[in-house]
Amino acid sequence: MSFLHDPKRLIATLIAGATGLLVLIDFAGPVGTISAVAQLLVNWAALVTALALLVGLLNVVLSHIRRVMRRNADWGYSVVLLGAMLAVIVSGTLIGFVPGGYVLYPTVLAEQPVRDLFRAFYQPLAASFLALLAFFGLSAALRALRRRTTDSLVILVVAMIVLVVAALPQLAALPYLNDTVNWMADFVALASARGLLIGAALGALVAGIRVLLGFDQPYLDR
Amino acid sequence: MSLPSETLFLLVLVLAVIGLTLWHHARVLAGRNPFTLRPLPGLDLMRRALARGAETGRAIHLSPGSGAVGGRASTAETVAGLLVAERVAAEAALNGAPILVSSGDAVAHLALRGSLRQSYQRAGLGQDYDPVNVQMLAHQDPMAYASGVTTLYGRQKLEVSQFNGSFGQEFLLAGEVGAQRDVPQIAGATTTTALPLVYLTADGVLVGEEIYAAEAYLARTTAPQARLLTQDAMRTAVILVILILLILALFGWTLPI
Repeated sequence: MSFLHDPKRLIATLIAGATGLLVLIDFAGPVGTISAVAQLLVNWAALVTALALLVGLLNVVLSHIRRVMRRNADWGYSVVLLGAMLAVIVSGTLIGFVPGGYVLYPTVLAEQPVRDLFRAFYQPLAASFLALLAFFGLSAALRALRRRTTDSLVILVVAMIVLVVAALPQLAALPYLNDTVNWMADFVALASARGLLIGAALGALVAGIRVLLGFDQPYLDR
Repeated sequence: MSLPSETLFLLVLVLAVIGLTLWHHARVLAGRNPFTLRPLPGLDLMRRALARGAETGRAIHLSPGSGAVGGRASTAETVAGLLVAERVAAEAALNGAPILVSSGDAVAHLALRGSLRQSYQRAGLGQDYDPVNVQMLAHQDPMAYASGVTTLYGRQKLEVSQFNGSFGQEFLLAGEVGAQRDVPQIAGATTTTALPLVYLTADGVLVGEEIYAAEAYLARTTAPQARLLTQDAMRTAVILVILILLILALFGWTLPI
């Protein structure tokens, strides 16, 4: 059914379209009253994002509580997740332990209890995952060699050449090799990346305009 | 009130694209100049999975990525992922195939819940919608999101897993685990960081603007195909401008900027 015949969808579309247009005009350049209204809308969006985070948090909590109560596979990890969540929330809002005592009602998340938690747990874990990517890359490369698809083989060969040239600076002394690699990077790769970027930008522009006009309505929930 | 020149230029461009969009929408609805779609093998994989999912009972996993709705770099890609998720959910609701959706952003999570509920209601199967199948795995933390997806792979056998949205290097974590577990994967990305990883690990690949076209390919009606006409027209215009400027540059003329 066309949204012109559906008042709820029509109102939602008008609000979304007008809001998007105001923020778009403000993005292009400051225009008096429009800038003030656009800034107000952006502030409201930040509030909505914070509320969305609360809803997401509830979703995560309920999902894992359900897993624990049903004793699903790996329910122990759900207990760890819930415990970690509680620890971060409590130390960030109520009380957190610091060397020599404790901090009551921390005013900002940058205060020591939460900062220590992140430094002790989050940062090493994040670094570990990044380090794992190297091994996953190797595994993916080996599988691509076994599959022998044209796209994968081209990617692997080019990646190997670039890696070897980067790892062994002595190879730069070989005639033509360094110049060839640089030419490929400065022209072929750069041109391809720009083409990809232009195509994606055009797709994004069309997608945005279609949302403004109401042809696509990812914001609806009825 | 005088507008800055950048504002005027942007408004003119937006008006031109609005005009093109409306014109192409009217053309498609009127059925004028029917065109054939360039085949996208990745989406054929999804169509087959939708048909099989109803028989096997295995879930179809959808992901709009770990990008934020509101972030300048990732909003458009995440919206493309939301639209594709809505289309696939509508087809799955009609076929009876189960759906599992994961998100890496709180706002995208809310939008996904609404989109999926809409899809099931439009299919007349609102009672089949289960919010448990829409899971938020992380919030604006790509590596945490990717590791959450690997957990989903470990918990249940999936018919297919589609990643269509904003991805970076974290895709390798989820994609490689999926490939090791023989999960058929379709992935679309617009960044040079993610695309090689997609080619190495996914069975179906959507490159760049194809992630925006995917929604039109999966739709049952022809109206969404108007976006393809608009994208093609704009791409043609950009190519012509580049060629004209190239020829002018060969004759020594440059833009006075």
